[in-house]
Amino acid sequence: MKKIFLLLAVFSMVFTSCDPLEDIYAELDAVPTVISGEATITLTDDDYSELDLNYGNFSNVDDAKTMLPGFLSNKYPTWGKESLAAVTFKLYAPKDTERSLEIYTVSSADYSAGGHSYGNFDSLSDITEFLDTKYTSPANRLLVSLTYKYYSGSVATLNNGFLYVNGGWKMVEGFTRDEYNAMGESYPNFSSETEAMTKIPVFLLDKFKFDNNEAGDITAIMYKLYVSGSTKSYVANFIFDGTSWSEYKNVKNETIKFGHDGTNWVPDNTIKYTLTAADYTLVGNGNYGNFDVRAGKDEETESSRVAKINTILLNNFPNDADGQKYLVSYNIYNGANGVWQLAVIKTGGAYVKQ
Amino acid sequence: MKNFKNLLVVALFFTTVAIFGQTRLTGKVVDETNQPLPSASVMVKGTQSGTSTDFDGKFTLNTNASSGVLVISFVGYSDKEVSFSSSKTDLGTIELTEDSSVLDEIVVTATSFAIDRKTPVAVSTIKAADIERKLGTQEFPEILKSTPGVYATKSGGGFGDSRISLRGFNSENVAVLINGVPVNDMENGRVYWSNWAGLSDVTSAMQVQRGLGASKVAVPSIGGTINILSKTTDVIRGGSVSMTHGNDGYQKIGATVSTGLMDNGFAATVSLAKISGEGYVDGTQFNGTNYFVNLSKELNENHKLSFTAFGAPQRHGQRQNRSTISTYRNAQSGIRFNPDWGYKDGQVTHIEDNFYHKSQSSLNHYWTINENTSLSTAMYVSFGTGGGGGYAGSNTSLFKVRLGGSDQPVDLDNIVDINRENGALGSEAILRASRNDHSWYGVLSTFKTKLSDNLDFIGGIDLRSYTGEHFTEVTDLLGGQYFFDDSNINNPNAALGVGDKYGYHNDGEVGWQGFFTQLEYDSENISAFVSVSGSNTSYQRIDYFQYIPGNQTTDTYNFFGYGVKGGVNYRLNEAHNVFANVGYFEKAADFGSVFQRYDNDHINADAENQKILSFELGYGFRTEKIRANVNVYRTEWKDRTFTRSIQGQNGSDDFIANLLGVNALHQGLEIDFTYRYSDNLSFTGMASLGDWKWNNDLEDVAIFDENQNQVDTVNLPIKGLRVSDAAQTTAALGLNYKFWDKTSFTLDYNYYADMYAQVNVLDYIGATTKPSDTWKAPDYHLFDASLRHGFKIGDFDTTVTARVNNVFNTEYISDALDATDPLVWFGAGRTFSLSAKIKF
Repeated sequence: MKKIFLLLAVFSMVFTSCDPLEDIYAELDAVPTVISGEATITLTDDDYSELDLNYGNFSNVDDAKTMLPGFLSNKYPTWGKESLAAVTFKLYAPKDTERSLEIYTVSSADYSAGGHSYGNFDSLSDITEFLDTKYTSPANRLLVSLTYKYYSGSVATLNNGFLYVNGGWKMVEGFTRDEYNAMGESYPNFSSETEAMTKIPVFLLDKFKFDNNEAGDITAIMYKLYVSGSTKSYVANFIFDGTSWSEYKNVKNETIKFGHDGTNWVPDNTIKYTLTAADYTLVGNGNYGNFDVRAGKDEETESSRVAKINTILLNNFPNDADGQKYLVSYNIYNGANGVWQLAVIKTGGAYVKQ
Repeated sequence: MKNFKNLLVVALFFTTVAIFGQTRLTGKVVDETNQPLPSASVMVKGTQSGTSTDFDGKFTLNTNASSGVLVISFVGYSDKEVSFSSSKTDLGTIELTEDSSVLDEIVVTATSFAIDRKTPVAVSTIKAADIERKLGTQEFPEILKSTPGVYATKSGGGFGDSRISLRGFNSENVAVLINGVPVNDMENGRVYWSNWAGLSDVTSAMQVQRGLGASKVAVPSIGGTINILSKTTDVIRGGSVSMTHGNDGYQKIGATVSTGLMDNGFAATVSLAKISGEGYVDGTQFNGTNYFVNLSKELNENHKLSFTAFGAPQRHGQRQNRSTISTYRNAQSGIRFNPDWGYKDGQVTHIEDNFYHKSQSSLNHYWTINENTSLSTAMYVSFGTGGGGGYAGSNTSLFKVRLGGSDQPVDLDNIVDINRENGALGSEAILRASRNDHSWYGVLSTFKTKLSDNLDFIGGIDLRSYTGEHFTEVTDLLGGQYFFDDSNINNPNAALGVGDKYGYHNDGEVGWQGFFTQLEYDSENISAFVSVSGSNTSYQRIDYFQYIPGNQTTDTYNFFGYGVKGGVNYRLNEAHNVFANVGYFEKAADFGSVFQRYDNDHINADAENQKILSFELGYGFRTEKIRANVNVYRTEWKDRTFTRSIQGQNGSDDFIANLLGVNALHQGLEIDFTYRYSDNLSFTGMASLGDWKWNNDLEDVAIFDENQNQVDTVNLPIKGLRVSDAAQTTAALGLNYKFWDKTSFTLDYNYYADMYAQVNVLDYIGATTKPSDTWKAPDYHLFDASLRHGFKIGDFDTTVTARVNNVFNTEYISDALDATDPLVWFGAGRTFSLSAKIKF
């Protein structure tokens, strides 16, 4: 009897402490569990306060890139590698508004001198050539309020602004006499700035109705103001929000995508993408809707899978620029079903492994 | 309860009356190792009066005769006659010696049971009592886990999903015979243990013959043969009821009733059991019924008819898919994690499940023609119906949507919502079942005659006809109106409902015509045999979906396999014996190797046989206290079926190339022993050291088309790679201690090592460098313990058994699939069962 208990005791001591998977578990437990999330957020007033941005906006994109990673770490403390966040924030982006420094109406002599025998311009280059002749060494940001005749099917008299920026002339659209009339002005000008800022946004909807403007588009407009007996030209910027125009207050919405690299959030344009049934069909894997990664099978090697994913992405997103990244999830069969991921980046027109 | 008490009182009353004025005989029956033999028959010679021994081999028999002779018998042992008289009523310990040939030679011949120290094969026999003590809630094949060369696991852990391999060969290469009738699937050779879940209740003995085995019929015994002998006729009237309660809601109740051998020579035994439980693994609930009926009639001294029918209809949730170790590590339910189930309308719903009922009925005729000649014939029918569940549809990714994280059950309600929303567009994700029904008819007849005092001739035929029906059916539309399918050209663009077939529907017709002959020599010291068998297998395929009526049936393709084997056993003296055997056989290709692409167009009519060459040497040592066996084997498996489909060149037809030279070599050493230290304490043990490897490379093997133009070359660099999917090294130690007469404690220790993750080496085709061995699972040690206590409730023998498997709750990997991050199944943690059996 004693012997049996001894034997039992020896058995127990030798083997209770024996865990076959000890080493494997130790290795696994050393790898932290990673939570990978995906968020699309717009910063709120509270968020700006938290970021100590008293004006409720960022002064420049670089600031945003510097400050937002810390902000995201606080907001999503549990998130790790391969998390993605698209953050929309307000960016202070002042647009210069200027008053005209020169007002000029093109004369018949000017047309003749420029070789325009019909007494009008008929292309933008005609105008810039004229301006180059007229103002041989313009100061930067010189605004010329130019009244000229323009042939486009028929001859019309136009008044547009031309701003000399960085060595070139940029046209800033103004309004014609008819347009001022349409805005209820008997003369081609506004009587006050308030009036201008009220009427212009309403009118722009009509003026640009065929232009397919998108939300966020900013356009500069030149308008004339009759103040204290003289008429002056001004340039103001207007922003389109998708439905209506409003005066641009030097703050616009900007979106930056961030990705988590395992340690930090970094600006990253990665798009998470899961292959669809159509994608598998495209590369000849439609039957099972997966990649067969068993030894000896078609997609055993990673390079073969990268090639197929490249084909799929080029087909689905032909307009991506170089540098676009994707984190692609795809079904595999290695004896059992599973889902694997591959990170690729577009380089030289093709997607390669990151 | 009150009724039961009344019954008890009445029963006791009758017993008391019966005892009055009789001779009361007592004794104990044991085997050569002094282990008790339960259920041995004890009969007064020349009468129908008798009893059987209890679990401890003890018997009490009341007889009117004041003197006479008792005949003690037990399957697989010689009969023993013991005289008694009124002055000698305590007959003490009666030892039976193992030797089936004397007792019921005809049965042993027909079932190919091996006899100790006579049949020259490596063998381990497990008797009913061991099964009762060791099984617990384990799977049937797991009883064999302490046998050399055996690797048995629960696979995914579902009820009946276990697997067993012998000497590194999987079930396709392990023959399983029940009462001498082969039961390996006729098309793919596999054995599905869930079909036989109830068999453990009615098994009288189970024998593992490793290597070639003693089977006379042609069976695919590359790894070995598992011979299961069911109970047949119970000589004594009576029966038993039993109840088992176990971990995770395991419940089993069962009852057996026997008429005993009646005066008119008729006997009937009926056994029924009901099993249910939640399963150790998540989402593996199960429900099953086991039935067994045996009717036998002794027509006269020379003719006996016996009808046996049994089956075990069941349904259970499965864990079909393996996961990575880290998945289990991070899962809420740990090693019980199962990705294959979900919730629908608040109910557990198995996405992967299995439901099957295979009935096996046979009519056996035993005819003792004369003193020297006998004929045993079994006519049998087996019907199988059922299949395995899974999912299907155009959007199966919906089955990845879970109720929380990836370790949570699948959200099936989500699919129901989506399917319902689809309205007239039908279901985009459904549950289906892959059905695999069959009907199998066979005749197996064995003729035996004595040619001389020392020489016997055995010959026989083995005829089988099998139809397997394969199709997938819709089992749950998951809220949708219908399921769209366009795979049946005879019913295109079909909107299907539950129970409709889709995907495929075909029959496999398999015919088998076999013969076998054997010469057996037996003298004082030497037993020897030589045997020859052959069989023709025919295959035909009928496809109801891909072809129009009239064009659905293929020709019949025939394949011939044969085998030759022989062996000698030499008994040096009472203690020592040595044996040797050698065999060569050719196994015909299976159904799938012939119809490779599941159609009637690409037929591999020239499929090659697989060739097996095996040698074995054995040594046996028997003393009163020690019984030990040592054997070494070398099995060469040549030309494993390896085919390539080759695209025809210049407009010629596609063809299938049969490549030779994929060979494996399995060799090893096996030791097992029992040691009886004292009357109360005994030990068992075994060690099995396997060296199983792929044996050669295929280098630039040329493939020629029908015009002898070389069209391709094949490389398969696998020489030296380890055979995967079974532990190459195993060992076991057991201890049995009897506290007192009917109370014993057992402790079993098992060790498994060198199990390489499963890989199909044929997948290495085209590899330019030699692959390395697959991932090796960690070695593991397991302990099982059981306690049995016997007592009497009134006059009824009662036994209570408590059993704990994996006592230390060791986490271990039992099955692995090769991958960059291996996919595994864990074996079960600690499980327990408590059962009570009352004999009446």
